[in-house]
Amino acid sequence: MKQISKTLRKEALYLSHKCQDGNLQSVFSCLDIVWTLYDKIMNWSPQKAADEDRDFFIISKGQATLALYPVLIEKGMFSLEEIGSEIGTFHSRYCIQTDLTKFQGGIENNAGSLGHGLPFAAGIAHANKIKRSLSRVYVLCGDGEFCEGTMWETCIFAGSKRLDNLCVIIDDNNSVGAMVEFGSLSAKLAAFGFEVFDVDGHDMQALETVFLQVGTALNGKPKAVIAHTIRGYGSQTMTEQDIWFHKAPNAEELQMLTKEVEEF
Amino acid sequence: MNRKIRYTGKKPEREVFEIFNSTMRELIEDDPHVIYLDADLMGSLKTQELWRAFPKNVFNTGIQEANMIGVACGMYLNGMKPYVHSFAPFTSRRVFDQVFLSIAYAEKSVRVIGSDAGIMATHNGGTHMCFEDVAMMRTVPEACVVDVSDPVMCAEFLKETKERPGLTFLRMPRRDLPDIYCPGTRFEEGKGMVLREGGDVTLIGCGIMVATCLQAAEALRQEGIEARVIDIVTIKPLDRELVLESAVKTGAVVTAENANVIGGLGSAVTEYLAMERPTRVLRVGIEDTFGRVGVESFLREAYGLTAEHIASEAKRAIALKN
Repeated sequence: MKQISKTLRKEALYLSHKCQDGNLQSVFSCLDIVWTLYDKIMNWSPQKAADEDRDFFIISKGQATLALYPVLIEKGMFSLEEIGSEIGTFHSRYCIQTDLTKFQGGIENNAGSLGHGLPFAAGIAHANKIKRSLSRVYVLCGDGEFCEGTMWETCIFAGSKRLDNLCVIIDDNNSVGAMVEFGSLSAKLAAFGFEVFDVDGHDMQALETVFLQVGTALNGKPKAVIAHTIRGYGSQTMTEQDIWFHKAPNAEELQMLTKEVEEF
Repeated sequence: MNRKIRYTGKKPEREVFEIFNSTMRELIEDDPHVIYLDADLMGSLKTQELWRAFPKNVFNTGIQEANMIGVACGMYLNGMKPYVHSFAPFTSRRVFDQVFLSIAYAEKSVRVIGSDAGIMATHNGGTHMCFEDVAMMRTVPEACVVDVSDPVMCAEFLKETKERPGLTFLRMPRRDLPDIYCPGTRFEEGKGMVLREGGDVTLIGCGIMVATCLQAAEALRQEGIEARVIDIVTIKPLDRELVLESAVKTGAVVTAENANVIGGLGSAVTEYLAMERPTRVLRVGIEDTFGRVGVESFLREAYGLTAEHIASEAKRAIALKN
């Protein structure tokens, strides 16, 4: 695993330890995707964070919010010390579900209620079309989130409005498989008019290549990138023990998991 | 005093989620038509074992609360007795249209359980901290709205409402409710419980605030003030008789709830007394503000959901009598 992947994971572990909450399996599943977007793809920087023509990143799978903070820390938007000292305290602006209302830029949406981020992202993309802005919208969803009916309502809207500036990234760690027989997400999205891409969600080079392809294909079709991922990727323990879906490390576990990440 | 009450203020023998599991198991074993639906929050109530044990009665729909409500209504039409669960915001504001139309207006019998009610959402913060569910559900005609104050009460209401027509809405924490009632205590829709007698002021609580009212009453006694304490049990229908009798007897009322005072228990009591017998009512609860991050003790202090605050409001209400 690349050094940046390790750094981001270690920061997420630390923040989860500090607030004694968080969904680390889900966070580790999508960190490489979020980093690739912010580092290689998006027209975004802390200085541009409030600019009208910036690219947007919407975290629809709110339980992975602890993936967003480390990325924004490494991009210079926030500081690890500041979040670390604040998170989990009474007046904290930082929560395990992002909260737009507490920030002036950097955080684009309120996450928490699943199935809300995709409709919101489609609204931004639609406005971009109306304004003839070249800004693009990236929205990170979980595969399990596609059980929400609102997701499919948005798929209809995005297809009909030809939102080729909307890129839906599915962190496909097969959460849904444990609950329902879902069938092919790829075929479903294609049927709704999406141009669908498949990629290894932990291979940053492959992710970059796919996102570059997505960026050039302005053909009227909304984009879906199905990123095949592993829950807890980056820690052997977390990939094996589902208790880490929602568990915060104590001091001893923090040390153990940090070591695992370093050696992954 | 009701001999069914044994308030100890301590951790109960079984937490709410444990009693939820055993009660649902009992219900399903007794009646194969009982159905429990969950939208991917089985882990939070630890009901996965129930799911494995009763694959024909227990279903995980995946994350789709709105559709879950619709499915429950269809199953009722086909002879089933559905119980649905998610966190309180996702079984109230998120699915209000489905709850109102598919369940209540369409005269289906469905029990909707919202866990982590109010401040008990703690670290999930404002997006999960639902203070408005009581107000919303009170406006659904013929609904029964329960704020669970003790694990025994949770079990009894799950059983009592198995065939109740229309919407039954139970809001509750998953754990950390103090012990109030003896096992086997029977509860009735629209019947409050008098937990303590007193003639100077009446404290009416619901949910997590019932035990807090009992603590406040004890503190008031140290100052020579005797408070009557009531667990309202069902916020809707309201036990009007008991509310009126208490207002006549004590002449001052304080309500206490883990929900927005707008539309909640405080509203229900003041609305009724304003019409029947104008009485000073002071309301302890969430003062029309949003949720935030914190542990229960922090949040209680932040929102004034404390015994101290109830006691001081009780003294103010007494002073305002004349």
